[in-house]
Amino acid sequence: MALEGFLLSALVLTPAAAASLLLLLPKDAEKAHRWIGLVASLLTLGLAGMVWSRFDPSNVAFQLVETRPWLPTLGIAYRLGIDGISLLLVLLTALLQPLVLISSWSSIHQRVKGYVFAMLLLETGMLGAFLATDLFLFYVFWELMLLPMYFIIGVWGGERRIYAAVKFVLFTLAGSLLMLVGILYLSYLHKAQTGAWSFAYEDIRSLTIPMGEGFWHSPQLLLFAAFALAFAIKVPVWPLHTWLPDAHVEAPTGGSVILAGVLLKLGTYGLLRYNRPLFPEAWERATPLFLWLAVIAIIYGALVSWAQKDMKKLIAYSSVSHMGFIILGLFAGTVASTQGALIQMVNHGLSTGALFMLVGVVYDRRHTRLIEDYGGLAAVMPLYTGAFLIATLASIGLPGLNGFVGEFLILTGSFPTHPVAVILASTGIVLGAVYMLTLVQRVFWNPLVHEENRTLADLTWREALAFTPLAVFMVWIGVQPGTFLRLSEAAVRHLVGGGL
Amino acid sequence: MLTLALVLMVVIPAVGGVLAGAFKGASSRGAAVTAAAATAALAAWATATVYGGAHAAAVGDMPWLGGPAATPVVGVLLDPLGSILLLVVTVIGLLTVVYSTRYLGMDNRDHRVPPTEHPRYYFWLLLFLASMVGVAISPNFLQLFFFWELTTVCSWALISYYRNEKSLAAGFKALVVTQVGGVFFLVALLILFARTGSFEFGALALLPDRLRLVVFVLLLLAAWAKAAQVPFHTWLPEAMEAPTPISAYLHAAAMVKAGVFLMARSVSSGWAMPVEVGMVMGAMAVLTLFIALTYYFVQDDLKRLLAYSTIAHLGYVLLGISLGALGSTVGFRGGVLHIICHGFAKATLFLCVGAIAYVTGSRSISALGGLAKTMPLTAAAFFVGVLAATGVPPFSCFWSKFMILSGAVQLGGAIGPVLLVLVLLESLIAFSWMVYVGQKVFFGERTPVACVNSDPPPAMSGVLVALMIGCLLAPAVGIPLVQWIGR
Repeated sequence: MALEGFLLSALVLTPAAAASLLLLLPKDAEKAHRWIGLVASLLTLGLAGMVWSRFDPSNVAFQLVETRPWLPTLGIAYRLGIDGISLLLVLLTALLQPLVLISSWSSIHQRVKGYVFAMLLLETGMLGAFLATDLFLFYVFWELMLLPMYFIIGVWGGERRIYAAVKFVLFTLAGSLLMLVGILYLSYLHKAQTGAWSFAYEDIRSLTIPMGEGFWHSPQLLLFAAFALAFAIKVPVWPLHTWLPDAHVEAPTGGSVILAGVLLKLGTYGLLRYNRPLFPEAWERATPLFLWLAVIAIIYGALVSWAQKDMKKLIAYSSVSHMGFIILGLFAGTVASTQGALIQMVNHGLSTGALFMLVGVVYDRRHTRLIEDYGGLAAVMPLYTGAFLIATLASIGLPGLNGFVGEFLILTGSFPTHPVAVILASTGIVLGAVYMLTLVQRVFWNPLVHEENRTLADLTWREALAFTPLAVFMVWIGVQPGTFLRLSEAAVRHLVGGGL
Repeated sequence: MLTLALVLMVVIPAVGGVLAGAFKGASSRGAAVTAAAATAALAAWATATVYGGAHAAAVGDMPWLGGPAATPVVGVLLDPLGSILLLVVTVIGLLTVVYSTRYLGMDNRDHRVPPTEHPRYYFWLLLFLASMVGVAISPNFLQLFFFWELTTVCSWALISYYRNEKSLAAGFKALVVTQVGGVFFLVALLILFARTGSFEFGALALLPDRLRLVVFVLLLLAAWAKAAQVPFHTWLPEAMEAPTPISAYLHAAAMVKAGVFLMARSVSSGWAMPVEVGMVMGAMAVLTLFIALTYYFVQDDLKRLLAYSTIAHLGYVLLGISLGALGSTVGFRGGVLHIICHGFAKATLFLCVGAIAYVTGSRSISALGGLAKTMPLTAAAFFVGVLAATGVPPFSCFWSKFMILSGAVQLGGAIGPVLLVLVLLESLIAFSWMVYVGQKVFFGERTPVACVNSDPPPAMSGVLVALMIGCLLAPAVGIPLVQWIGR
């Protein structure tokens, strides 16, 4: 069998295989655990690179497709495939994972085996969720992500980790159970319409789902709501965001990076992959609602960020604001705005991931995340200051770095159809600059008042190594966004259907 | 070849800034000066080459931002208007960098800056130079916006440079105000693109009347915020917390000029500015002149005095541009000419104040006195600056003000005489006050702070001499250039 026949499986299963290898090793072989994790995630990254090189951006169908029967009588199969919409996010996931393992080299010292195990399993879950083209399989991967994240927050987290972990699980489960009902009902609809069970994405997509009269009698609206709730909690869309700050603050650095970098994107990915094509009329009906929620999230998230005293909380709320932009782009629904939303998912993963990683750096040294405990770091840690500034500028959308491209595409793409929402959202750009640059001023530039900060060590080579690839991509996307936007353009055009 | 030179003018200072930021000590300064000098040389060559014409070329395209009409293009454009800004930015930029090599240091009595802090300064300064060149040679609004936003961040970092409480607050305020201006700009662009599918300057003329009015008002608001015009003017005096060369360069000669440059671009591309907006722009410019003037008399800090004077002079530029919008090409040319004339005059004044502060440690008008004996060169430069800024012939601003007024008269009706009286009044009061301040600081009895000193070191004095020459030569270079601007 040619390599193409199992490339995606190899990509998804490599981390899981490495995780099971870990189980065979004794508990105290920490170094071996770390190395196995790193090598496996680098291998996955290499495989993701191979996927990229074999990917044909002009083809709008799923590529590198794999289908293996699983429960044929129920129409459930192991189906994987990749298209322009999932490719970028798969690359992002594969890129972030090794960096997270490198950056937690010196910050996680307890139960290393469990940590690496959870991280690897999480990666399989995330990649699987992006690549699954069978709704049942998607659900399996979706739930597979939940447990490792629960343990990562609950075991390696901060003081209120149990509360945060339980809240995270309850929120996510509440949404995903409704989605499961929705998935089952879709399959039942398929049986009713064609006589056979199927969970295959392509089959479900070809269904016509009745709109009905009123919300409670409209299968399409109800299904839309079931899916959208699960995804909206994940994003999180205001006002479902309250689990996010808790989870971020309590999670260890690596957990935060993955949470902000990839897990949130599964929400927006889900909306784009499932809600939009499967329930087009309901999508149209829900557009005003989501646009307004997005605008509220952008402004509310920014204002709340501004008021934070805890660096991680500040960045967590900034995610609420930034994800609002992505929701705006998705629901405005033009090619440009959707493309912008997609690239912005990657951008947010890079810049927020980097910011969480960098906050982790000083947390490891000082064991505090309060802004007021810092000040004057620029003189003590110049390299670190530079790195933080790059990530900040990328996050606020400075031209020349990645954030600008995404925001600009979202705004230009959305403006023709929804000018008022865009004008309101653009205030978020000012606020974004305000709270992020205030953070920089207070942490790095204000006078050095705490003596213990005077002796802080600058970035170690390992920390610098973990940050560098992120910076490279921030500049790359900022200067040459075409390289990446090209990958998804045909798929997005196909999904959105012509027009601008 | 020319295209390459124009691209290099953005790339060289940007790379030079990164190098200057990475190096230490003399090599950092060397990288900064070399990059700035190369950029200025290229700018002079490019201006001479396209002289009388325009050069536009595409460097790349952005298919991912495909509009219905045309694909936005990344490119370069050098025309007479752009040349004016380009010359101001690169020449004064070079002089500022040279001046800074001595100004920044432990000998500075106003602000001692330890050598470890220098690379950061040159990094932001050169990044700013690169972005300003980008503004000057942008062929469309999208690219202009791109560099415009970059200048905002550089300005924030440079105002906050000393990192004390006041400068952090000032940098923050400048950031917020100019960023708000940036959002007005952005919304204007979005409307333009949504309606015409293009970011070209000429697309403004394609908008339907009502929408064109909205877009021009938004652009005007953006320009006002960037150029510190009433009612957005308050950030500029506070930005005087920046190191003085930065105040001279960013907040007198270059960055604030990006605001008026935006208006000049918008008006001259198609001459489609609605008359109402032109009237408002002109009226607000005159109002700004006099509001700024009233602040003169209560300033004790020389830099703040100059900041208010800058606000007034940017008002002059907008006044000229508004006359252009109302139909007078001569007035428009005068406004554009004022960009370069005022750039040199105000840079001279600021760098004189920098020299005074460098040797005495004070910028207070009341504390200084009798400096002319010990600092003759600085005194000479200051008075040349005053003559040039207030428009005494044959110095620079005389020519631009003259053209602006000719334009006003050309328009006919009451506008000409009224403006003539108002401008003369403003010039006269400003001139008297500046001369008064000058004689207080340089002549009269020597005050204790003024006793110990001499002119600043050669690198700084040399820059002052060059600027004095600039005050005389600026119109000689500028007038022929602006003659090519027309309908």
